[in-house]
Amino acid sequence: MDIIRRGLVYLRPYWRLAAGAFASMLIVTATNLYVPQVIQQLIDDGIEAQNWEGIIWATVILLGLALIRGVFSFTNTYWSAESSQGIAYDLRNEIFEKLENLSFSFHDTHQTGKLMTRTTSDVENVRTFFAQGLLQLVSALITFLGSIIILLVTDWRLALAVLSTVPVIIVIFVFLFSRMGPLFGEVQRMLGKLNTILQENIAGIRVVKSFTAEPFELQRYRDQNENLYQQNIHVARYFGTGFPTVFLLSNIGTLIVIWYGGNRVISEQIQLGQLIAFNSYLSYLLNPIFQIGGLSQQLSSATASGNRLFEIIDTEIEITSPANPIPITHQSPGHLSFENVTFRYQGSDSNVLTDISFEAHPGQTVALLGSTGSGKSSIVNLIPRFYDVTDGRIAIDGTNIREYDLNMLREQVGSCLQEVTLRSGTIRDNICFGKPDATEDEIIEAAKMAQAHVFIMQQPNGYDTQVGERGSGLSGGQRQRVAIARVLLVHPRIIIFDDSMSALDAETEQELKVALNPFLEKHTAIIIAQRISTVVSADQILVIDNGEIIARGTHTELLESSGVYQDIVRSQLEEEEA
Amino acid sequence: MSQENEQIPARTRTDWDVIKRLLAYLGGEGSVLAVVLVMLVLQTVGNAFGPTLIGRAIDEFISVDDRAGLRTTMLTLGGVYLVGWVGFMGQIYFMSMLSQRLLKKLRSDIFEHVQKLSIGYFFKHGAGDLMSRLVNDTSAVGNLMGQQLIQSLGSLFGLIAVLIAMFALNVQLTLVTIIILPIMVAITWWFSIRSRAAYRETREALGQLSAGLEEDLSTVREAQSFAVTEDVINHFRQDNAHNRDAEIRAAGITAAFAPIMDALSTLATVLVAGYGGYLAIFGDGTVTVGVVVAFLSYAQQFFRPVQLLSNLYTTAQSAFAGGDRVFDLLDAEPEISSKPNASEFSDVDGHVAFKDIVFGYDDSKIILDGVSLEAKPGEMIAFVGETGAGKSTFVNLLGRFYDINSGDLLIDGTDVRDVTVRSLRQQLGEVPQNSFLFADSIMNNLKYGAHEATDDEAISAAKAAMAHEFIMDLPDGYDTVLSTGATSISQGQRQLLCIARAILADPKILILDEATSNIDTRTERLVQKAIDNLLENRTSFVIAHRLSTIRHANQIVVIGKGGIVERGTHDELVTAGGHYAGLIKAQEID
Repeated sequence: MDIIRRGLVYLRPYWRLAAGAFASMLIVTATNLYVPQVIQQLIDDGIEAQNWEGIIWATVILLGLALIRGVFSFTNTYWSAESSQGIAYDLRNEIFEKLENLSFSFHDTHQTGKLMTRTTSDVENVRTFFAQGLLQLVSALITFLGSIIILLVTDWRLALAVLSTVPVIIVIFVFLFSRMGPLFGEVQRMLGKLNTILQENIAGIRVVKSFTAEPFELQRYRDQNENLYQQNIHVARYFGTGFPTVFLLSNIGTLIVIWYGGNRVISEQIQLGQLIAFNSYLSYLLNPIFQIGGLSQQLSSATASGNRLFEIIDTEIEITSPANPIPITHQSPGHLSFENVTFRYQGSDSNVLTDISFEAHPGQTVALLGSTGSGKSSIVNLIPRFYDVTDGRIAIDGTNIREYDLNMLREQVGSCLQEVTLRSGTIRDNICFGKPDATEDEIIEAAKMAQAHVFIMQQPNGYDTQVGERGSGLSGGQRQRVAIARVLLVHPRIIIFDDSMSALDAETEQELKVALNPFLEKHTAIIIAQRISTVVSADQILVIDNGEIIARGTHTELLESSGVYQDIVRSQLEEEEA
Repeated sequence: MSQENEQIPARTRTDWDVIKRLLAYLGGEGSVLAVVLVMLVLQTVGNAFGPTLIGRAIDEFISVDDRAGLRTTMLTLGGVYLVGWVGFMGQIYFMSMLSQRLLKKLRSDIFEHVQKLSIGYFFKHGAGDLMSRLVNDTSAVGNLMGQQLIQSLGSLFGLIAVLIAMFALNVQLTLVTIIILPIMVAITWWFSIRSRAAYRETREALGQLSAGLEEDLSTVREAQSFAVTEDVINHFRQDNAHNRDAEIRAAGITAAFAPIMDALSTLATVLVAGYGGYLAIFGDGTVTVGVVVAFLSYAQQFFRPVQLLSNLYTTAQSAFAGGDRVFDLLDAEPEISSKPNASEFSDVDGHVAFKDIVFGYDDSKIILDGVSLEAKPGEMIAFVGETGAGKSTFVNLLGRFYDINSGDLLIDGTDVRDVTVRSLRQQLGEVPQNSFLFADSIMNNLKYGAHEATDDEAISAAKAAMAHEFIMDLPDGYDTVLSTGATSISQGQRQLLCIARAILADPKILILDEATSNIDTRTERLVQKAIDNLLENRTSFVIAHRLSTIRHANQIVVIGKGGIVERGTHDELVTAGGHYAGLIKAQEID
């Protein structure tokens, strides 16, 4: 219920539309309830009484009612669509804005697919509830209660006789609807399993074929397909019994009305038209029960969705600009220092980094060397404040990075991330990602430096060549070079290469390094690499193991002083010789 | 060319073609279909006779104070209701059975057919695209065959039954009732055109919104890194507003449609009441109050199925489009299949010969033009070159993932096209570049190429692949279930598992596509050792990214633009001082 109250807050900007929709719904319900009365008059005062004028009047009223109902059911549907779409629009914007600003630690633990579902289906669930559910619920209740009252007023004896079937119908409904969720949930789960087999099969088709596992795969698929079939039949058995029985019960209600009521007409306790109106109201009882059952499903699914949405909306953004931020610009010298930095992920009690201290002077290149999981990437992720340090401090030009304006800080720290994700659009769009207003010359200059210009010009439309989602259409090495150009374009004072040349062949990597040299001489750079050859020319090499710096110095110094470094060099030499 | 057959063209079938093919699936289910029809008739009888009996009860018994007659009629009515109940139950049950059987068969057929299609098909159509289409299209067809079919059949039967009952009761009143029908059809048609256009717009808007959203969410790190979140958010707002406006426009059309239909069916009721009343008062006495009451009820029963059917046609459109694509897929001819009289390969020695091979993935772009290459049993051939140069071409041909245009590809002197594809591939093993594993236990993954292997055999394969140690470190050991895409184990470890899988499958000829992803030096040494174990005593084709792997290859083939650039042993190529020598120099430590 709390969720609904919070949801209602979103309705506030659209309250006029919502009130209009609600009023329209009331009018529609009222006309619906009035129609059987008119039909009764038509029969009793018109046809039965052989009164032509009575017939004319009744039909005119019927038509008038239909027109009124038409107009208001239009405004009801249209206004509720308008207001609910407004709510969905606001909700989506709010969620999206939140997601875009939530820190890396949030995105590390939340899959993109799930977040997509939040912003699309969950919002749609909530919207549907506001657009239809809420109004239908009220309308169903009014219709149901209104019909019962009218029945009782018309003839309470007959009413009680007929209403005796209602509790049974309700019991069956409650039973059916309580089973519905789990049963259909199971069908969905099985269908999901079946689709997973299909998806894996297609994703791994090469493996399937080269191991000639087609018969095995087919059998696996068929078994699951059979399970799904059985579950569907099981569901059909439930509903195949339940709904017809409800229908039968409502027919029995009609039977009671005509038989018992017929006898009462014969005894002249009620009129024939009343009997027929009675029968109409009876059918009004059934629909609301159906609707309320369906709506309880809708309500619980909207509540679940709402909960998930508010969970995101309520998540605090861990990393934000300080209240009085200090600006940082291209004029910054780019002197970077780590001072006794310790870092662990939230909720974890083991340190990823322990007591890291080092300095990178403007124009220097610092290389980080170490095995996978040693903490190299964690070190560089702290510089643009993708994560905040747990202990110690990181300073640029002597000022704690937490005191800078966050956006300005990130503009001055360029990261070539380990995994390159390009966006669909042209190659130009991708290079301009961080600087949409870049000139053609700037773009080409950046691409040339990143050794990307040549292959871009070989593409059918050069810089205007479209790349697919996540950069499909380009090879891994090409994507990495576009990603590097993208960073070079914004001219950050501090640039980070997180293993960002791994997909390049040796020749291209060498050319890229030579081309980058003038840039690196003027900027502070942090380079992460696996291979000794990448790091030998660095001003300082840090050997990282298990979150700690275990050795530091230039290549020559380390060759003399560090056993670990010697080991790494030896193992890579061996490999070259092997 | 057969290449063309595998292309998915634009919509080629009319709605009716799709329906016919779907109905063909019903062919084998004649008995269930018969039961469904009987049940439908029973249900319809129940629905249609009710108002007639009620009308008679009013006219012939209530109006003339005949309590006994009323009782008989009511007992009959009870009987009719019971028949309808049985029919309704049976109809739901057997109809579900029918449609679910049909769907089951359709799904199996699709899956089976997908297994037969050649790799080129998946490459051309994009695995991801194919996947989502198969899932979505089949489910659209499923909806049609399930609920929608039941509804439409039920509606159709109901409509016919009501028409018969009405005509039997009074022809004039029937004609007055259905006089509205043409207007309704015309309006429905008009609206369906408008609403189809409106809904297409909403789908496009939603598609745009979702596609953008997906991309934005997967590049959220980039956006933050480049401090452009605000631009991204503003762009999203535009898409979001576009989607909202499209939805509201579409809602306007739907919102108008229902009330107009409602008003028209009320108009029919009014006509029946007015004309019926007139006949009851001034007529010759054939039209009684009971008849009018019955017609009032029929008028409602008549228009509901008409509306249902017209709605159905719109919603069925997506199912027809889905069905069209599903059948396109089913009709795609597998490009590569075994010859009818193909023999079986068993236990080859592993002597591979490419003779005067001509091949191009595209006929317009020949990659190999008359190339020959030979690998004696136990030899290692390595392919070197830039990404995209076509290093994988030879191995793609070897497993008949593609067929050569001309020339001969012989294994132990037998043309690979003369043996069954299955027995050919059983002689080959592959360690794929992307280290693909299934979302299943490690044990099942290891046994993927050798289902009859024992656990012990699998474990010794894992040991030979240097994978045993890390597997035992996992909480569930060999029973650990790998999750797709998730990083439960590292890329290097995945590669070790793929190697173990190949060792267990024990092929005579091995294809090794080296992983490019960055593995740290320590794991890489393990991988190298595992590969050495794997290559022993097998003919192997290695697609190399690290030159250190292939120094001992019997032949190194350097592939560049336009095919083979140079070939020879490591020493020969280094001495020659060509392309390979340049690569070696670049990778050496400065």
